Amino acid sequence: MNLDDAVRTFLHEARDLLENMEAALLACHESPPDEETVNGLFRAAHTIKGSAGLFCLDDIVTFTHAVEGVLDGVRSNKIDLDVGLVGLLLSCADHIRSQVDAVEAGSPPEGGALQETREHLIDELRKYCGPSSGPTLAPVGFFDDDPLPVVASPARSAAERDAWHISLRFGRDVFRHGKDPLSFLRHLRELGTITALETLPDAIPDEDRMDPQSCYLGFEVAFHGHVDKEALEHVFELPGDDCQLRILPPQSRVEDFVALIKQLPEEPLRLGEILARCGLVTSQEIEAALTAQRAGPTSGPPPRIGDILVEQGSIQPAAVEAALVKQQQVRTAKAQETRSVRVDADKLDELINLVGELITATAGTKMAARRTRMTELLDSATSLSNLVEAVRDSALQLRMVKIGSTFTRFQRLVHDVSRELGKDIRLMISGEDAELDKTVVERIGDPLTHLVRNAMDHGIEPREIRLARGKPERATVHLNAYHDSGSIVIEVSDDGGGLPRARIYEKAVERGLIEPGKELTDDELCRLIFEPGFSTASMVTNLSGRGVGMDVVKRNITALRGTVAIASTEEVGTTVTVRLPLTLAIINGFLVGVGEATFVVPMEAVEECVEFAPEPWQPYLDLRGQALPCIRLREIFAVRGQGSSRQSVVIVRVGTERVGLVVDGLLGEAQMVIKPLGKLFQHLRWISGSSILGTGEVALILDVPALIHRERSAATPEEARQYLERDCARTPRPALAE
Amino acid sequence: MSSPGETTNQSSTVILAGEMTIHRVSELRQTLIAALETSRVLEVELSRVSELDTAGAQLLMFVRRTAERKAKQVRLLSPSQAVFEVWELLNLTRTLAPELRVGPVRGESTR
Repeated sequence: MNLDDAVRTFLHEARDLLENMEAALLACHESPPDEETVNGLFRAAHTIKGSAGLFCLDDIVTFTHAVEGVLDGVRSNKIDLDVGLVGLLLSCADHIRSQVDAVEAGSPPEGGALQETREHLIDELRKYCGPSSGPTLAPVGFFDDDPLPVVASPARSAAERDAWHISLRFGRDVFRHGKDPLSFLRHLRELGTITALETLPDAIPDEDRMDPQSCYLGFEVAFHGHVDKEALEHVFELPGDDCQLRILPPQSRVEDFVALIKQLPEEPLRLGEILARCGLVTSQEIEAALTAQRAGPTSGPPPRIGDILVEQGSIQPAAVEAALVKQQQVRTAKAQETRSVRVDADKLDELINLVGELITATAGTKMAARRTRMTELLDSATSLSNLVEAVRDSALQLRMVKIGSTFTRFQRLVHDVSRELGKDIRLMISGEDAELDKTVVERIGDPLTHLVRNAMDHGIEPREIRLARGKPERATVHLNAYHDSGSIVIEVSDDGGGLPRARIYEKAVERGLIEPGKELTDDELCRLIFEPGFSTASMVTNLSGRGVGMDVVKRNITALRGTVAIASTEEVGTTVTVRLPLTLAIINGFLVGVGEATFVVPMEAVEECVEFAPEPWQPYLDLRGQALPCIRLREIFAVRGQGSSRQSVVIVRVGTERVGLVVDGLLGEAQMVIKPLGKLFQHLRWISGSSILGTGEVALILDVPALIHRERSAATPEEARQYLERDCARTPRPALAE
Repeated sequence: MSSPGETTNQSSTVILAGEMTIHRVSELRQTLIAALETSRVLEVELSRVSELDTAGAQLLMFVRRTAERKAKQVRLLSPSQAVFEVWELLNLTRTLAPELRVGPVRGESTR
């Protein structure tokens, strides 16, 4: 582990913490925050500050310190966590995130705009602090005013490692001389922060010999403050001979602690444990150092402890070491919470690629085995291929992530947009445990955002109308997810006004999408809003500027091989249902044969199959009176040989556009693993990938949208209509030249 | 003043009040150890303690340890603000009163 890795872990961790913070803040809207929530907020800010300090990210430290100060006020009931403050803290979380992003991008920490925002936010925060807690936001000495360490606080800041270590052993008579160690500790606290303190009762004797007026105590103190050694010695000057004082400066090395242990009266291992509790050194380090020294060669001078540590490579720059400890703590905590491992997505992709190769190789083996006609070999090849398929399934499973985190992100959007629109809207989430492929999750964000915004913007009525309709004042947007026959269904529903049918109809007529007076089913009407250019802005409100319409949503979802449907009841609400494949790595394909070759048509695109083909010279098929453009796969892919006498047409559809694919044979449905095309073939049009059949042959997956696009650019609907008219007049025509 | 409360063979309660400092630790030690002799479980009520110094804190640690050696139990209950503050500073709350869930008893710290 090097420093870069440590920084990366910090970035990861900081983002996680910010997400938690955001979730906690948004939860404050739902119910008044309990103690645990506030503590969680405080801890998150505190941990970010600590880790940032470790990497000398002073801007983040300054800012999170201010946030922490306010949160501390909230924690101690000095500041009320009202709606305004929640909003402000959300902005603060955003700002920290952009600071973290800046660190990742490696840009100079002092971007002008960033600094402006920061100062503005700090000013706002200061207002909440009020004059009484002024020092909380003192511009210097960021750690000076940290609250006393809460005993149970699990999040000990890594910056606390950067502290003085003070070891105190008081003389027996210190009480009798009228001095109280407590007063020295209180004095010390005025100079800075006691980040950790351990009281050592070990020297208290057994019952009879114990004199309650004698002092038997010792203290190990970790102290953070901008002081020098002299100032610290000064604090303990008063007890003088009644106190044995040992001070280790910040960033002391392990051997210094070991030396300290040797000077102190207590048992070394016990002391090591106590020092570890002060957080400046780990017990393993001390233990290892002590054991190594003890086990050293008996002849000759014993090796110096420092040498041993260097040999073992256990001495590292303090910062990196602190990072390691911190990570370990974080990891243990995480492991207990979720039992999950963070894996680089690229590694997963590589694994899945390899598994794909494995499947191909297995298919080949199986074919070879079949040729040998050796039963034994065939059996083992079959079980091998079963196993490989199981491996494939679980490898694909690895890429599955829960949709919950995507959903939770919308809490923030709903919070912000409802504020912006002046509507009272809450987001309900269910089915967050439904899993789907990581790549799908990543790409579903934008369309979902649009749908949720749409629901809030156009779906939910203004307050007065809601009240007039007898609906609760507070509107609800509901995100739901569930699995349904090999795909995941995501529903975005609202209890708003529903789609205004009359207006959609009007608009559609106006735009020439439908003939005036044509009867439309509800379904058809709803589908109209997915038409390009059917502006949402003109439908209900004047709020526009989205830049994308529902057609874009639809296109995005189609690109993920998904479908979108809408159901709406006027005055009751709207539900948009998005159906997506669980993974992009497997395709539900329809196999078609052309000559020797096999092609795969994505099942979602297939509308119907017709066992009838147009005459060779006809570029259009008369499908129940409608002109359907046809593509002969044999022609465009230059497959050799003559077409069979019984050709079929597979009608595929993307959006509203349809095209017929003329093929030799229909071979049926199959699930197959998509293999991306190699570099050499990437320029190929109309092919989106390949797959290996059970026979070991390669099948090409057709890129249906591209095929339809080809057809559209080849002929306009006007030409088609003219053609059909002529065709109906039975005028023989030569085959269309390519 | 300290006053042994109702005493049974099983458990007894001692209510401590006033300052718990170097000036009184000898006397308090006798009271507490005596109470510990007669019971299996000793409860010490601290809500009326107005001041605690290091000697007082040390005494509490001593009593607790003595009880442990004798396989008895000492429970330190409802510490006053003054007591709690010292425990927190010396990081003793967990050692001395692991069963303590709530903070200090407010408003009764002076007497």
